[in-house]
Amino acid sequence: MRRITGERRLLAAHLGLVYLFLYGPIAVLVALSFNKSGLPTAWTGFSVEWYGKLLGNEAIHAAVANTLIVAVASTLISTAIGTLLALGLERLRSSALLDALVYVPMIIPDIVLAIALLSFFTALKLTLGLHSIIVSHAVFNIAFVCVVVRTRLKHFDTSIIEASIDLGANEIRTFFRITLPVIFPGVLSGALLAFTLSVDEFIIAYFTAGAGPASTTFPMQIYSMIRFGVTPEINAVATIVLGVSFFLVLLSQRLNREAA
Amino acid sequence: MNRPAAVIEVASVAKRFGPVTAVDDVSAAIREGEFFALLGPSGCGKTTLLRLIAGFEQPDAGSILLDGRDITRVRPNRRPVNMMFQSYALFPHLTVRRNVAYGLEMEAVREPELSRRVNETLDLVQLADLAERRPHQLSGGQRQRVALARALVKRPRVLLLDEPLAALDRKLREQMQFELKRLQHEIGITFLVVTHDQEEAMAMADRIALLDRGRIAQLDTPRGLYERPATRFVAGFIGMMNFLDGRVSRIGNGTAAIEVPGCGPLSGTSASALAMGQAAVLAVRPERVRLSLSPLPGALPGKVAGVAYLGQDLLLQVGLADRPQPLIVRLGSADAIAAQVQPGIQVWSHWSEPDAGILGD
Repeated sequence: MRRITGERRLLAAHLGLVYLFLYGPIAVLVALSFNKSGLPTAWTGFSVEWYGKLLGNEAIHAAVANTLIVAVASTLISTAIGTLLALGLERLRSSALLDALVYVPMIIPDIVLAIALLSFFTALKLTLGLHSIIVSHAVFNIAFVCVVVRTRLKHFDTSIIEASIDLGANEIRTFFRITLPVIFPGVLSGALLAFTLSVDEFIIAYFTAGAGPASTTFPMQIYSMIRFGVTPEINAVATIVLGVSFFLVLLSQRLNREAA
Repeated sequence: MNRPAAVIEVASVAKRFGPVTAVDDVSAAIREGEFFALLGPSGCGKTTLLRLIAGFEQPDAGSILLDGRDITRVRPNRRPVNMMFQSYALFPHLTVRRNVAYGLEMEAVREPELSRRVNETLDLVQLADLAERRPHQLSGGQRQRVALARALVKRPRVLLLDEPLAALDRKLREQMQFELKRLQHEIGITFLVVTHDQEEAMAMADRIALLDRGRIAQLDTPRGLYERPATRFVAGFIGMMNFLDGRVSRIGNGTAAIEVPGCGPLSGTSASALAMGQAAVLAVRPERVRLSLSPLPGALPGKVAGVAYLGQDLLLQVGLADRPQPLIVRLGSADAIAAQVQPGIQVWSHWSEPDAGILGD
């Protein structure tokens, strides 16, 4: 009995260390965002001053708006195409080559995809801007949505599609009344993932944005601010982003649990 | 012949999947109001034939007629036939009531008729209490009845049932055989059921088409299939059967005899065209074989190799001289001989000529 409690304590300590390693730096960041002096060297008292400053920062507002436009648009595009792609691939005879081709945008280094997209846009003589970021983010997000939806489709009984047609529905009504509602939890968690990936994507956006503040996204804005050192304002921004991501993760986990 | 009109007529239908011919030149007529079974081992093409009639597959040749109208190219959602799927294929996100209402909604049936028909059908399958449940909250038997109700509510000209009882446990399966039969009588809809289980087909169907490698081996009543099998395949598939191989030695009017090595000439009824000297087989049911403890003229001598007590019956294995396959004999437990048979004793097996059939190979 004693031996077991000893082991349990050891395991608990180990778990504590792992969490400390993961969340220590983040905790420091959150704390500093509330530090009056704004300096990482000394704690001078609690303050929400930096959050107030943030409210007045026009550049950050514009960047957040850009990021939301890009994230929403690319999520919509990639969710629609990715879901249809998943449905189509499940219908085909399984092919390792086809699967690999679909998943490559997920695993090739962002920098390679960024260069490829930039050269492609240049070759097309496309003016760069928010639209080119949207298209670029859709490229890799389609793959992510497709993967998430396909895991959902693994448990999908395709005979319900035939049953719906047998009962008098055409293909389109069958899709909206049967297929989509049944796979919807998968589609939604795919969309949440795509949204999250788009919001914090930096390299590809940086390459395909073109010049000027009109197409500066939020991560790009932070990057440009950080070149003059980590300001307490950035800590405040990071804390907000952290809170939002935490909420989204909880939401998507809850959706998956309900679906199961 | 006062034959009821055919609801479905399948005319020379063929379907190939790559190199495999699943359905090979099949013709059959399914009559109004009958309980028709497509029976056969797996891979015999019975499910493909059902799916061709439902419209999920297109035949490579031939045509399918419904009430005399060619529906070969009609899409499945426009055919007045409905299917009960082997997996039941219930819509998991809809309640029992919404599952059943779905087919009527597609026909744009409006309230109050919609509710009236849904309730009527739920009552018919005794599911009214569970109408607000989701499929995952139901037992296997309840799901099966939802699937049945969902197809029946459309009042199809023909209800197609793909292995309707395969997913149920044995006890429920036997109960549901009668239940399906009762329902079919009550509502008078033509049922076309696919099954691999011969007992199920025999118990439920008015007529059975036994399929073998994409072709109809025999289309007959259960009694006809059992008592007058047309081929060796049919004789072997339905029930237990003893086969004795030989060559045709005599052809008479509706009878024939074959020379069986070691047993001499054996005769039986014969419906198929035979030629002298061709390979043929004598088929006799275990319950038609009689045993004697003393020699009889024409009886085959043998030795009891094994006895299995089955309650009502005894099943015996009788080894015949020079034959590797023992003869299977079924005796009533109350039979006078039953008390005396035991492994090792000498017996003489015989049967009356009309109980044996001579079948071409």
